[in-house]
Amino acid sequence: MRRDKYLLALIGLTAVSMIASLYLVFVYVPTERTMGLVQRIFYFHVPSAWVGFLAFLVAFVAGIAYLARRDWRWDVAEATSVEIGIAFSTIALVTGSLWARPTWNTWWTWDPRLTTTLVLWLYYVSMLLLRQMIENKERQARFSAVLSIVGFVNVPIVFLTIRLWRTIHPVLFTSEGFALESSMLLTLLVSLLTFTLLYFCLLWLRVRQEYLRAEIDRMKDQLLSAS
Amino acid sequence: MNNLAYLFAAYAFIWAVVLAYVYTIARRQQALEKEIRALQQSVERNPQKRD
Repeated sequence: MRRDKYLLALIGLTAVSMIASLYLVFVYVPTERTMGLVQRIFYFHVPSAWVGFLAFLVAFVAGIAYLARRDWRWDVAEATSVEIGIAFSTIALVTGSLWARPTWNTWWTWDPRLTTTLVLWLYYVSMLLLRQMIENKERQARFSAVLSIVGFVNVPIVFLTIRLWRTIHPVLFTSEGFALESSMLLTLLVSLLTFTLLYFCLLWLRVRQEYLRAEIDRMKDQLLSAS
Repeated sequence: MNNLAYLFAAYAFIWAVVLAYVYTIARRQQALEKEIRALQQSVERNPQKRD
């Protein structure tokens, strides 16, 4: 009951933050001079990519924790986080493409940042599909944990591509800080907060759901063994 | 497509993905609740089998 209250409070906070983000993106922030209106995609594109990274980081930590403790709850956290990470990485890829068309005059280019992001996305999608093919729960969890740990190597590579290689993707965080005007920075930071809150809402809901599924399976086993 | 159309398409896609994901969560929740009801009914029908 108390947990539900906290979840409702988190959902409420996310909703308020989302309204604030939409206000900042569509009303408050000035239109960028060179790209025009389409630059506003940036304020939800970057947070989507950020949530993808965060979700894969959580999966990485949960994977290590599962291998160390062999507690199924870490496996649940890891698998659900990967699921959410894939959803937000998909958003980052598609919105990036929709932004690239009017600014770079192409839907897609094999730029290092775009290519490594696509590789990251394909890796985790394959991982989730392969996971579902394993029937033994213990083996499934072990396999998934190892792949989450290995897969996380991709995340710093994606992040560093625009610093290590020649790319047309803009660099947002420089050694001098954010390369953004103050109102744009505020809008971006609020959107980052909103998407982070949204991630935790979805993770909470999915983890709770998987706990319920485990409880049902346990009850079924009990009923079967009693009969 | 003009700039506004790309902007609209991007935000429409974001909301579509988020809403579709929330919808799948809701569907899975409904299925779980249905399973719980079925389990409760089977326990009520066979009370001697409870431990």
